[in-house]
Amino acid sequence: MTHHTKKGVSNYSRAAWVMISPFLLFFIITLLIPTLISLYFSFASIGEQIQFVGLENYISVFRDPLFAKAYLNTFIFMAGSIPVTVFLALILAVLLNQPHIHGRGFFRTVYYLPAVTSVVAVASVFLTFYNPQGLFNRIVTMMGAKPINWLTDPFWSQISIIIVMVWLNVGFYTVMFLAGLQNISSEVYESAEIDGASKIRQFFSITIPLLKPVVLLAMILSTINGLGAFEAPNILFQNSYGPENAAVTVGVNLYKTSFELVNFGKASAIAWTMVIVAVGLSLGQFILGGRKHAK
Amino acid sequence: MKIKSMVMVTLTALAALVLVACGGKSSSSGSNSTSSSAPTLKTARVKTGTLTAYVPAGKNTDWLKNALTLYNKKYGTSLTLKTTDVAPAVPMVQKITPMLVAKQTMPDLIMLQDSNAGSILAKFQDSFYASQDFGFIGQYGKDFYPAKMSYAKTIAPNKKVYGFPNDWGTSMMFYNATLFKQAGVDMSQVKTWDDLIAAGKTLKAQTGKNLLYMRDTGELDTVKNIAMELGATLIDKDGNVDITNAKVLEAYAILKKIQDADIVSYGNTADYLKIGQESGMIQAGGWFAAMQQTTYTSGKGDWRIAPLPLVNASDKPVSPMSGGSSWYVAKKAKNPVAAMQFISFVLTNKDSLDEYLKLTGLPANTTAYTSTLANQTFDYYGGQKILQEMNTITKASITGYAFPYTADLDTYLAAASYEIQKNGTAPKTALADQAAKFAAKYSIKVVQ
Repeated sequence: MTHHTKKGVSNYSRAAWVMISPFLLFFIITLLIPTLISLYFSFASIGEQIQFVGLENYISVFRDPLFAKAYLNTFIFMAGSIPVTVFLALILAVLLNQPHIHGRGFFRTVYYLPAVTSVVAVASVFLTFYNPQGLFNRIVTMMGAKPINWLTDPFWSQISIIIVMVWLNVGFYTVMFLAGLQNISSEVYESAEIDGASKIRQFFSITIPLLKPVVLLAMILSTINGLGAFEAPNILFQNSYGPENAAVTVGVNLYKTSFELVNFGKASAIAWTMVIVAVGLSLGQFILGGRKHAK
Repeated sequence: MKIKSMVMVTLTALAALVLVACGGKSSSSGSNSTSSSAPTLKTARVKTGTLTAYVPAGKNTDWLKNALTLYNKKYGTSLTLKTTDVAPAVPMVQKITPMLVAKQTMPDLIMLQDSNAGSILAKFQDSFYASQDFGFIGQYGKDFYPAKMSYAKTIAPNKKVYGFPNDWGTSMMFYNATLFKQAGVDMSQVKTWDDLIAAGKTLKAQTGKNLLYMRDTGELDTVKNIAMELGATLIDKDGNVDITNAKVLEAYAILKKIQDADIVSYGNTADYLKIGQESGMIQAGGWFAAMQQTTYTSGKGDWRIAPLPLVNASDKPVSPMSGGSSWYVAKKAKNPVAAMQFISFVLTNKDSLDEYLKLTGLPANTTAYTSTLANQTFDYYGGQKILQEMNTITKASITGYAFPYTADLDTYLAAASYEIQKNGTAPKTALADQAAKFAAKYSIKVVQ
């Protein structure tokens, strides 16, 4: 009987491996091998000959002041955009989840549209908005304020990028939160109402705690996305680093190192610092999220 | 369990194989271009085949096609051409570098800007045939602008000329003669930057128009042009950054004078030509002449071309270089010999050069400007013989040095300009700061 069970498990295991093998092969070819190659490249000089150079690329990366500036900018963009994106997305999702709102499907589609629109197109449109005589400055001057140098002042350059990042991502996270909200049983809210809890109390005591796994996922995804920010700054600042290098991100630095300086070894080293930072930040978020959950 | 083990073993072996392959030395690309079997101008002409070329659409593609007809007729060959539209700067680098790394078969002809060629040749010079080894430079080099040839010799790490020289640009002045006439300014009397500033003030007072465009994220073109006129190469012959010298500081002093005169329109780099068109003058390379005529048709008859003013009237006329392009032939291509034979014809045959002039191209081969076609007048420029004018300006080009990272220096100079203009930092301090950052990035020295 025992033998029969082992055989059964073995057959089951074999079938499982056979079934996942197409994906596994695809994963190995398109992800694992390129990742391993990239890791090797980060320790190599890439030219006609590929030569192992040890930590040379990493030393070169850390010696370059632009590398630190790119990380600083990237963190500024993440710190500026992620909380605003998540907050706005949460508000929009809660509003869309109200039963008395008509045309929810329409709004959901409209809010999601930026997520499926080309970043290049979005950034190009925003480029016209940020023009000295563009839409934003017209609004600003109508409100009685002085025109803003959106793309020529280091501070406002970074704000410009943050606005585009928020606009691009808020719809995606709205839909994600909406799906999370719809998984919360209405009975929980009914019980709270019977107990006399206000809507605000319900939001903070029911919605937020039950939505926490989705919020955590959103934070991790937006952190990883933010770390790779490339298209928006690159288009808004036309392939430059912006005033006082205010628009250079790790992604822009990586791109320029690869394709303008043709230094694939150094570019791979930059890419691997991104991997380490992304893993570190995600782990941190998991740990912090888990700790609060335990409390 | 066995299957699991097999999968894991296969996976590990595959990864190891890939890493070993990455570390292995290529046998296909290691052939020496100077070996006895290397092709030269004397090699028997290839009669048939299809040449593939990565070249930007427009005049350069049209030129290759027209020249191929001439070539086939002259040599009785039956070559055909297949082109792919790729811009010759960063997009070309993006397109060909992964192919070079993966050792794929390359197109037969690659058009690349000189400023971008350095970074490719720094890593892959042995993957290309040298035009010098082919005999092209020895046979025809004297016909090309000396500054172009001098620059070409410094692009590759081994100082060998790899490119087949296509064109060469210098910065020149496009000015609106009608506008200056309205303001009562005689532009023929403008010889120096001080003269130009005075003309710009008059222009502003009389017409309300600004003299010129500058980048609002840190000016670059004006300061580079003036510095080069003064003989500053920005990168010295040993590849060290040299932007804190007296010549560059003098250029920044003149830049400040222009900016303080309130005769500048600031804008982003995407709009600079549009803004320039509304100003008194535009600083651009010769390539702008063809573009201006077709894009800004309402300016017909108003504009003229002249050398940029000098710092001192007694200075020897010298034109700041603005770049050029060349053709490259990879060793691992299907028809490299035919490609080198064909491009040698394209760049030196009189009829072929005429074809390029007709298409508004500006060959680096100076013999092109001896033809009747090069003496034509242009209505857009008030009947000026602009090809002769541009040839004269280009002949006075400064001799500079190319290094893989030369193009990247612009970012640092623009950052210094921004710091000086917006935050009032002393030029020497701002330049020294940017020079130090640039030097740290490339592990080079700052020339003190």
